[in-house]
Amino acid sequence: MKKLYHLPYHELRRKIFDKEIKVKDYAQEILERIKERKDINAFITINEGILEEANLIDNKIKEGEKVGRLAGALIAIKDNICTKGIRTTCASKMLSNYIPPYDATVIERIKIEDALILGKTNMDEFAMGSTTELSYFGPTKNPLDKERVAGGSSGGSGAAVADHQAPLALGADTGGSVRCPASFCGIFGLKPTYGLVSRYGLISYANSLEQIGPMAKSLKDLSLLLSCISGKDERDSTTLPLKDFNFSFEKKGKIAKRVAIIKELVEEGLQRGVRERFYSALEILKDMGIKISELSLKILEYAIPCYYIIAMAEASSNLARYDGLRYGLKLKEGMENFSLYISKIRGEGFGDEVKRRIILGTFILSAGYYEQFYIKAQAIRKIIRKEFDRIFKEYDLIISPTMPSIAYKLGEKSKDPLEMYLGDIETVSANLAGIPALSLPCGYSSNMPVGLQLMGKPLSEGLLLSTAQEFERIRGENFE
Amino acid sequence: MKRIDKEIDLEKLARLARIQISKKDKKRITKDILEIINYFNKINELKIGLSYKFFHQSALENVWREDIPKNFEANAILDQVPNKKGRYLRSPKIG
Amino acid sequence: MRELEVKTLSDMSIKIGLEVHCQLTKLKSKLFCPCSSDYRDKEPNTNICPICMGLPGTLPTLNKEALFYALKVCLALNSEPNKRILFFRKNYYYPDLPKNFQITQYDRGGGVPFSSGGVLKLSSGKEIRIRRMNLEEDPAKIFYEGSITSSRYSLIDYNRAGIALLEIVTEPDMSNPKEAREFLERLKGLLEHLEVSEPDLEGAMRCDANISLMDGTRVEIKNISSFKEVEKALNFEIARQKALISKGIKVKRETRHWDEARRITVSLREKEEEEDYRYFPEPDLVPIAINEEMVKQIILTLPELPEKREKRYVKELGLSETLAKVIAYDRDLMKLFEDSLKYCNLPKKIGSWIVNDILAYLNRKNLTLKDLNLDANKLAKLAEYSEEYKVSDKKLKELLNELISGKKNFLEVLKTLKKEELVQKDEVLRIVDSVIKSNSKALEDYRKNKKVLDYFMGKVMEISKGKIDAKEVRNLLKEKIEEIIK
Ligand SMILES: [Zn+2]
Repeated sequence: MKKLYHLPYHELRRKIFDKEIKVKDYAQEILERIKERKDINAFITINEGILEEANLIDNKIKEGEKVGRLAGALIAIKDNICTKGIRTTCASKMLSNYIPPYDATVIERIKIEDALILGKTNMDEFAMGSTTELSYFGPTKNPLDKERVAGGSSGGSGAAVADHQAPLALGADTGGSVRCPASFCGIFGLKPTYGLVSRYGLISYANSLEQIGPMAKSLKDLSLLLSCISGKDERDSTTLPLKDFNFSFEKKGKIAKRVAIIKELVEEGLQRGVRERFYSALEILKDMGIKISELSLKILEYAIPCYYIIAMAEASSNLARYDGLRYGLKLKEGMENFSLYISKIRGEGFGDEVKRRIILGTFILSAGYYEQFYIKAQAIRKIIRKEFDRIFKEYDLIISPTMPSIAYKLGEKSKDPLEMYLGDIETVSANLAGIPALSLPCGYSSNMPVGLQLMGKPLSEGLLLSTAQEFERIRGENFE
Repeated sequence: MKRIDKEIDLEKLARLARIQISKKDKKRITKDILEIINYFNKINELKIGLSYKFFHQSALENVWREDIPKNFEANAILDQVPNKKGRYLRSPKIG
Repeated sequence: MRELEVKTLSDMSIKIGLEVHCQLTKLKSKLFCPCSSDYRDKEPNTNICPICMGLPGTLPTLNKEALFYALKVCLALNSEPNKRILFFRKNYYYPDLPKNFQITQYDRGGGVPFSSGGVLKLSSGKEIRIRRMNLEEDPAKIFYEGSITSSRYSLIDYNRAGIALLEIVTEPDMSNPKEAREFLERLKGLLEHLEVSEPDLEGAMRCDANISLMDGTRVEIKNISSFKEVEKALNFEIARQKALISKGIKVKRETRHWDEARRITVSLREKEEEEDYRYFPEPDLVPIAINEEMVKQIILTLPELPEKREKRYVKELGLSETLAKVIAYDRDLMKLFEDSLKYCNLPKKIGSWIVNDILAYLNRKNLTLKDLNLDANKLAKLAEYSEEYKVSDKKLKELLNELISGKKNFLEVLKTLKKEELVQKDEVLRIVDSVIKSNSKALEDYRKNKKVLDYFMGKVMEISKGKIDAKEVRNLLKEKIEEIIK
């Protein structure tokens, strides 16, 4: 029998409004599901007040009060998004006891819409990873195959949604961290245009690249959650001056007509099964009347080093604040000298990959290397951005697989950092260019899901979503 | 591309980054970061003029807020402080 | 003594540059967060928020007014604001730095300072060039349990962290410590005039100095708490370096601390390695584009600057150059002066009182104008009454000083002023009568020659020892004599 937790949010919402079900009962069911599936390790912290909060929403509905667009939605939140009064760890020992005194803007926004914070999801420490194995709280496992990773760094959010432990989740995407787990777990995930969603309260890893993004079991849910969190925020100077978003599916939206595939993203290094699924997806697009052209974009050869140089440089500065003085880890000994004490704190509080990236970022910004690496990478980023601009003058979308392979086996990539970085080839360009990118499931290879990535020009989220919806519809027909 | 090898002084970098690294990890980490740096160095194959006109991810300009003071409940912040004396934060001495 | 020291070494061979940090205390909130900019006298760590405490996930937002205040200072100093300003992060670890980086500007690596160039004129007419200005955040305050040497811990109060700070760096254009002090005083006056800062507040204006002798090694002096101390520290440093040079010892390039208690500069323990600040552009703040429109708008808000004001006082109000200079460059005196002129049109009298009496008194007693119970209205009234009641200058000065020192309140002064006039009139009458009575011969002569009045005048003035108004005496004498001989 289909349980409530199997339903996408928009179906639950109808039942909640029709008073067919109570939010509290639903929450109870979800909590049990999480307990049953503890071995997936999707959550780091569960919101202990959830049942009481659910009760409040039930009462509101009972009293006939007006409720928000996300009434009764239990949302899993990546643990690098600050939640007032709920522990927020970034999956790091450094912040394992940290309780923020404020809510991130996206949290405020979903609370206004009467959503409930279900809990905080597992991730790679400080979002530095593509597998969610690099967590102080242990790896998250792929719900479809527990021998495999859920992807990262928003692996907890991806697994929670795919495993029906949450109907909706928020992740954050610096170089693919929403799209990779969406692809590996077989759900929908979107990285919005840079500046569409406020970063206030998102614990910074690489400020100029990252965006908070929604993850869901259906496009309808995804677009609803995106609508609720988007728009100008006074507290984030980089948010675009736009208000009142509604990526609605009521009317059939405009879909893409001309689509580009880029040789550098689809030729080398793709797993066979992924390639097959990708090319059958292209057939579906053709069935939709979309014209597909292949282009070459040589500069993308440098996308991964360019991305990692910028990300690590920013990270080395962003993570300087963790020194054990104002919050975070505490040590009993070593209090006699500031530099020594904080070096010890940071030596103990950070995991290997975080240390590696901080040291590399420190090197990149240091005298004598700054131009050779940081300035050079910024110049390449500028070129990539221009090239994308140029392509989007002629084409509506660029499509590629989201990941070059299906979910890795646990331990397969995490031992060799460089090999893990190379897996981000499909995803990092969207972050460098600041454009929106959506991952949607497009079939299976070796019983594991494969993701299709749609990228569009800035603020083309609506086009991505409606094209994806049409793709879903046609694929569904073909399937049946 | 010329390999970057001997110039990497891990101890100096770790000191700059204030990260204590144990003797036993030193060798492994040095090897890792050398490999990564030399991979990054690939970007220097590309011969392009470096523009110093700075790139900013955001196309926005002149974003600011009005000069209006607002209070925050400071005790909620102090609750998170690991070492305190009264209302002061306690830090090891510098030097 | 000090004069002598400076003059023995040719002025030409000393080069002093200053780096001044001034808080924009007139702002209502901090530079990048909405905490109050009024942090003084608050319980430790109460004036803080997640942003200025560097809590994970927080982002800075720029205080627009801070930008405008900084631009005001640029324009007043003729310093050219850069067209596109980027904020940079200066990375270093220190307990007073909540994020372990400071947001500021940088003049290399693709960055530009907030503004470049500029000039501030000293009273001699010498121009001190400004190299650059930056707008940045102030760090927190560090205290020590017990003394700095004995204490095991530092105590940190973040109330100050994030206050808007203007960094002003000069070229090494000052050739003696006196000029350095005057520069600071003029700069302070300017910041007050512009109403962007109250530099007298504790810690609101801080200064580092660098000095080199005979184009030799540059030595930096830090930790100087006041303008007076700047002069003292520089004098000490000149003497120290001269002594070294005369012994043939090379002056080391270093940073020294001014030890106020011991009145010496001491070398800071040398760092093991050069600090590498790893500057890079702040991704969380967008660029600031300074356009013509903004500059125009700010020019409209600029008050009259001291230099212009000084000229106007001389040309239009007839003040002496000395008086004009003193008043035009001191904001408090200027305000008192200008306000007084709203009530009476006696600029020369008021100007003289302000400089020769009020300022002299303040200097003698080491007080500021705020300590006196004196306002423009009272000063103007006193000036007007003194015109009306024809009181002797000597008596008037006495009364003014009594008013300044608070010996008499304003009403008492007014009463005395009136009484004084009456007393004086009685006295004059008495003398005039007696002089006429005891000079009947001269009275006869007067009938033939009116010039004999001068003889009477001389007598009266002799007896009164010149304390009374001559014009008045003449009128009175004439009146009385004509009456008698009629
Ligand atoms: Zn604050």
